[in-house]
Parts: sequence; C-alpha cells; structure tokens
Amino acid sequence: MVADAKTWTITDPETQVLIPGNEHDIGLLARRNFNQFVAIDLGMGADPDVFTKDLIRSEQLRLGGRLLPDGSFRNGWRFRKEYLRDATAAAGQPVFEQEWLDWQTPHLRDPLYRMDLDLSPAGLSLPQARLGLPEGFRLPTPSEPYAVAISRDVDGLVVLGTAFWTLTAEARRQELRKWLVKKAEGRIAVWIDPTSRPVGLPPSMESGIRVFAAGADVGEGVQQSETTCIVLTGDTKEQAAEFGSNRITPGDFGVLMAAICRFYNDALAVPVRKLHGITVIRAMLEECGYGRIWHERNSSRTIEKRAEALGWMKGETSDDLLFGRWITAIKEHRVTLHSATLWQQHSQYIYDVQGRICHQALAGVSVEERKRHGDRCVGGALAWLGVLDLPLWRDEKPKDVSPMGSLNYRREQRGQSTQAQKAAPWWSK
Amino acid sequence: MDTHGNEKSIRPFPHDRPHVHAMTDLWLHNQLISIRKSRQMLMTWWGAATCLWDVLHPGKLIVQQSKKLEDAVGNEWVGDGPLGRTKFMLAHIPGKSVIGLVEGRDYVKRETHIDFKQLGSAVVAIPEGGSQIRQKTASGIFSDESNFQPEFGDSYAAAIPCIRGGAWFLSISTAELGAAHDLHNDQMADR
Repeated sequence: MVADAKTWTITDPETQVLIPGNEHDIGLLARRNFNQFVAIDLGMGADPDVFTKDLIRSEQLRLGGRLLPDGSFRNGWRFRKEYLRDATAAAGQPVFEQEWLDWQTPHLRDPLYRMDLDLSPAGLSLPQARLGLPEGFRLPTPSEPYAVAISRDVDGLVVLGTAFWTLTAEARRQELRKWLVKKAEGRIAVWIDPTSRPVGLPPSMESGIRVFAAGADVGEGVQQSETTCIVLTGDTKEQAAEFGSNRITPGDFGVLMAAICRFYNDALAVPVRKLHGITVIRAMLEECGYGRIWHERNSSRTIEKRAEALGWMKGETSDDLLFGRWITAIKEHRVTLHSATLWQQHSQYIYDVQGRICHQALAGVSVEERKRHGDRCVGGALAWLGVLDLPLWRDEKPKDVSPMGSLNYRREQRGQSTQAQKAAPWWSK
Repeated sequence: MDTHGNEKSIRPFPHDRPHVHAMTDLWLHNQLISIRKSRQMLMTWWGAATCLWDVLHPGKLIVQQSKKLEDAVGNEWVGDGPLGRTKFMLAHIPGKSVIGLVEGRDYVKRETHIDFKQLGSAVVAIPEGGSQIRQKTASGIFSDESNFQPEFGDSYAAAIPCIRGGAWFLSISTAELGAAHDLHNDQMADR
C-alpha cells in the first residue's frame, strides 16, 4: 500500500481503493499508469448520500433500463456509458430502437402499383405502334385530343398522341424521359398517387395538390452499394414511393430521378452532392431540364440567403445534421413508412465502437469506405430534409415544360422566336 | 450554483462530500491526474476551484481547455464552463475585499481570461488543440471533458514541456473513446 493518508502520493501501478464502493458502483480507485499519470476512476459509490438507491433507479429507468421477467434489472447502454463509465457501451447498439420501429409496423403494406421509365416506343413507327405498344402505353381514341404528343389518362396510362409520331427518334426519346409508365415489374414502388387529394385541405380549396420531396443517395452502380430514392408527402409526412438499385449508373439515375420528381407534381429533389451525386445533379439539370433541386443556404446572424450549391453536401449516417433529424422523426413518430425494405434497413444501423452511426455490415470497414455506401435510410433522411422546407400543399401545379406539340408549346415557341427577332440587331433583319 | 431548479440555487461548495476531500488531497500531492468519472460528481466545479486556488498564488498561468472556446469560457452568471465557474466562485468568495480581492484593483475579468495584476497571475480559457497550448508556458492545465476533445493527443504532446517544467495537468472526463481514454488506460503507445 503506497497511497498512505499522510501524503496521498500514488506511486503503485496496482489499483488502490481509496474510497470503497457499494452494491451500485465503485467508489474512488487510483493507480499510477505508464505515462506517470494518476489514473482515477470515480464512481457513484464514492458518494452514497447523494447517489441513493432511488436516485440511481430513476436514472436507470430514464436511460433505457428494464426490469426483466426474472426480477433482475438490465441497464441501458446510455446508463452504462454515462454513469458506469463504459466508453464502449454504445458499440453494437441499434440506432433505431425496436419500440420506434414497432410503431411503424401497422403501416407497412404492398405498393399500389409500380412504375418505370420505358424509352422503347421511340424506336417504333406509327404502324408498328398500332400493332401493339409496350405495357403502360396506349394510342389515343378518336374522342381524345390527339394533337398533344404525350399525356396521361385517368388510369395512369401514357397516351402517345399523333404529334408524338411526327417527331424524330431523338426528340421522342427526350419526351419519353419525362414520363414514368405503369409496369407490373417496374423498379419504382408507388404507395401514394400524386393526384390524390391533400389531407386536411379545406373544402373551399378545390384546386389544391399535394407536394412531395424526393431524397436520393447515390452509389457507384457497380453492385457495390445501392442507389436509392425515397419520396415523402408534404402534408402527412408519409412515404409515397421508393426506388433502390445497385445496378443503375449515376447518369441514368439522374434521368430517372427527374422523371420521378415530375410525376410527383414537380417534387423538390434532394440528392447528395458528394462523389457520384454531382453526376446525378448534372443529368437532372442539363439532360432533363429539371431545376427544382434543394440548395444550401448561407446563414449569418441577420440573414439567410440562397447559396448556389445544389444538393446535400454529404450522405453519411454519421452526419448528425442529416441523420440526427431523421432519427428524431422516427423516434417521435412524425414520419410514416410503408416499405418493408426501408423499415427493415432501419434495424440494421448500429453505433460503432467510436459511437458513430454505421450500417452493421460496414462496422469493420473504414470511414472512407462507408462514405461510398448508398442506402435507403439516407434517402429517407434526405427526403425528410426536403419535406421540412415544403408547404403542406400547393394551389396549382407549376408548369415546368409544356409537352412538345401541345398548344402551349407552340405558343411558347412562337413567343420565343418573336423575342429573338426583336432582340436581333437592325443589320440582321 | 445549482441550476437544477432548487429553491436555494447558490450554495457553499460541498467540500464535505467524501470524494471531494479525497480528490483535493490527491491533486495536492500528484502532478499528473486523469479522472474518469460518472456524471454529476461535481468534478468540473472542483477543477475550477483548484484552478482558482492555484491562481491566487504569485506568477501562475493556469490554462483551462475544452473542446470549443465557448465551452471553456462558459457563462459566469449561471456558473457554466470551467472559466465561467471560476469567475462565479471568485465573485462569491465571502469577504474577498478583506483578503485583498477587489475587482478592478486586484483582478480584472475579461471575456476569455481573468488577470490578477498584483500577483502577476492569470487563468485563461482556450479551445482544444496542441497549438493552443504550445504558445503558453502554463503552471497548470485543466482539460475539461478531455475524452470529447478529438485533438487531446496533440494537446497533451504540446503540454509535455510545461509538465517537465513543473506544471500540473488535470484531465477530467466522462467515458468516451479517444486519446484521453487511451492516456488513462495505458494505450497511448498505439497512437
């Protein structure tokens, strides 16, 4: 015994009990470590007058402790970390607790229908089309406005009008990129139709339409990680659609993402910006002309202004600004999930030994490796970020691009040519 | 200061709690101390009290380090953060004018430090990082919640010349993995 009461100098590498503990915790232990520090472990047993049995039990219950059927008590990992000084207590613990996910279980159901992009009619001629069109397409009946190139009927089928067959193959392909088509084996699962009436809309508002946000996490498209898109409604905050694939390339996904957003009443797209995300954003903007993409804001003490940076900067589960909000939304039952796959993926997230959130399949790999992993939960978190910025519903669907061949399209073309003529210098006329 | 909503929020420091007495004796007789503690053990208050006691001696530069400067500075009006608690206790020393502690004459409180002009001493709050300590020749270093400072390893390395010169080093934290955890558990060689 070196820690004598006269000097209190600790020189022994063996642990000395300076204040004994009790049945709840240690008291005060000290030893000299290799770095010549006195390493002191201080537990609740050192102060039994303050840390009474009742106080400790109330903290245990507050921090996730449970009374087991056999009468014993099991401490939650938070209590073990905060009060019993276990630095690795969080390792392996689920991020989304089972009770939070159990609340979602009654809402899980099969999708209403499935959709996908199909560009194959671009290569057909009108006589070939009359012999038969792919699933989800049809030709107009004589009573329908046949002059419009492409429209959607009340059953959700895509109608290819007479004007469509007058276009070149490339122009047809460009038009078809904007339209999702109902397919039995489609890759996009739809739970909520965009034409459904918003919940809570006053009866006086007849023209209100639902608003949506689509979050997208982008993988590499070489079967390493999943590229995902999750759509949430603005009014009820429930899952409207889901896409997930580990084979789609970022460029193709940008086209698909723009079509999903157009289908969902010009939804607010929230893709990630890191790595392949920038390819998705560029495809949406340049190839598809879809510009309703979430952008960052620059905040100062007095103002908050729009930044030019499109998309969310990261896509990692360790990013508390992104995933922390999603965890809170799931915990407080503010969001409703319909997809069993998405629901199941939530139970696969754990805390690693450093206390960071990670997918349990990735717990052993480096942080850099985790950054490349796309996932549906990250897609949901991004969509939630977009939903927080949206109103509950809108008055009218904003007109993005008029369908080629429609009356409005021809008016726009005429207007643009008139403007160009007026703007031209006098010598060119 | 007890901010837990009790009726009497400002009370004398509970020096009679058994571990507080023992910790003070340990600090008096050991230059380097690393404490891994449970929550609510009053250790940050105790650390601030030791800093205050030491800075009331001539020629002392005491450094209080936390993850961010705001954390280290805290708020003296509610007794938050190491420096905020030091300022709070300094403001509430009974009969301090009698023992020669008049604000403005004997000491000056600044945003990030307290200067004791007559004694030639000061207590300074700094954020985490080795470069923050490197430029100071400290007589004592109090690292609060050191397990939550990602750059604690650099801070400790930068503090070694001060330690060799006789400065005390006090690291206090609740449990978390990091350099301070490794220092406590003899695993610094792995870093």
